[in-house]
Amino acid sequence: MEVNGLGNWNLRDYIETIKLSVRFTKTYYLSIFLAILGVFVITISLFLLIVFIGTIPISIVYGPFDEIFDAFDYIGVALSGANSVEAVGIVLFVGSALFAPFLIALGALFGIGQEIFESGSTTAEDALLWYRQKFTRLAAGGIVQFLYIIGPIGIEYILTVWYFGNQVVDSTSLMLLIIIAIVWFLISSGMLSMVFPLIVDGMSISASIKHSIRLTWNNLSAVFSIWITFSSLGLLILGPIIAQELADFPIIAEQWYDLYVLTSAVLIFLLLLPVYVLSTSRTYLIISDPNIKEAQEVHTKEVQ
Amino acid sequence: MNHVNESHQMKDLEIISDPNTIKVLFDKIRALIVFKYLVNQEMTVKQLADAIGKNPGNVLRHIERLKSVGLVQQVRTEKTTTGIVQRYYRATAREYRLGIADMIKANGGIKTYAKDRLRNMILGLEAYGVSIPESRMNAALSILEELIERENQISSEIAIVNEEFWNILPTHQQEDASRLMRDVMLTRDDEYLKLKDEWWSLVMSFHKTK
Repeated sequence: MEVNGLGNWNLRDYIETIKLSVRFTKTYYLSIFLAILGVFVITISLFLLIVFIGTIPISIVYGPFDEIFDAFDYIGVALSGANSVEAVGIVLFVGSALFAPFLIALGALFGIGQEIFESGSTTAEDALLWYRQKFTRLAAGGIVQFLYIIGPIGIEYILTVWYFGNQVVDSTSLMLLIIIAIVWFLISSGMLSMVFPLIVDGMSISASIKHSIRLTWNNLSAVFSIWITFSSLGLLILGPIIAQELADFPIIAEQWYDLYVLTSAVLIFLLLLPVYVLSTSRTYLIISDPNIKEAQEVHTKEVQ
Repeated sequence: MNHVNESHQMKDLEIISDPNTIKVLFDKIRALIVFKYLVNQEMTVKQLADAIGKNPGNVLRHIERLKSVGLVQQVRTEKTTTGIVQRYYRATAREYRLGIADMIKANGGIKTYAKDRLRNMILGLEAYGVSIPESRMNAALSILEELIERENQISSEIAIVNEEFWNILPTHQQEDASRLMRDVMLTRDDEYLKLKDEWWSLVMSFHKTK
């Protein structure tokens, strides 16, 4: 039964989406947990396979090495000897290859997010089925997003190196450059946050990129309220680690540091990520139809 | 732009000629979703899952494939009191037919399937006393192919303009109305009538009456 048309996204929608995402994460936690576990195992296997394949050209250039993870040392060597343009190229190329498995995994979770909100049920197996069915598109969509988000930050780095040359960048300029990079990261990630739901919904990669930007532009409050909430929570959890690693500003006592890193990873991957995926999926379902109505849930008896 | 088809006028007949679309329909569940349910009414993933006894995730993946080849469209969305966002899907046409000519031009199994199907239709006329000899079989196949193509083309141009009214009609009334309308449109098409004449002459020349 139709009640009324829904206008723009409002505070009620925001609160309802977060609350429902938390509730559905609780209800389907076993399925979600098993899905994350299953996808994680495949992702790690795929990651190792990519690293292994990557070692072949590296061993041809630098000679044979003992362990596959020595490849990262050689990438480090290549980076230290590279100029700014080459360094950005290496980071984008290696980053795309290494992040791809994780991005496919993230995309597959959006499949179960859509299932939960569209049908009210899901199973762990479904995540693996989405993973298999959308493997190529999710991988390509993930890589394109990575390049869109990280590419301009790389350009900023190249321009900085070109402008300052051998001079040491002063702290004010450095702070400004870091702020620009963070702002770009948050805005571009938000604008592209509908890409995976759109790919799951059957769109091609280029169409999903364009539609994500257009949908976000037309529904800024909806997309960014969800994106900023979860990215802020993520930053809050990771803040002490970032401060300690990048700014050499110790917040956590040394004996607790490893435990904090582990707890943060568990919190982010097993709690924050599923709630974020569900919230984004619901937001997508709502904003993708501007003529959405409110109604009672229909039951099978009504159609048979 | 959104995923909801904004001009979701339902066609009376749609000709399927793309081999990819035909392959998508080779799956029994997808064929069931389209031909049994979505040609008749709008349904949500949950309703479809309950009706065919499959898991909703499975149905959602089938719907996504059907949408990608243009057989199914999303017509409306509802936000329910329980938090579920139900999206209603419907077939893009009331009836689908395979485009014989395009299938014959295709490669591999689809071409063989289309040719065999036409040949079997002609061989089936034996039951009515029509036995077309092998020497005239190619001519018969060619006329029949053209005739079916023309009929499909004319019929697929007929649109259901009053969809609200159409939806309240019982299935048998929908079928009768569709048959009448197609008949009217076909009898106004000279090319169709010419082909029909040729076909009639060929069939009648091999018709043995008791």
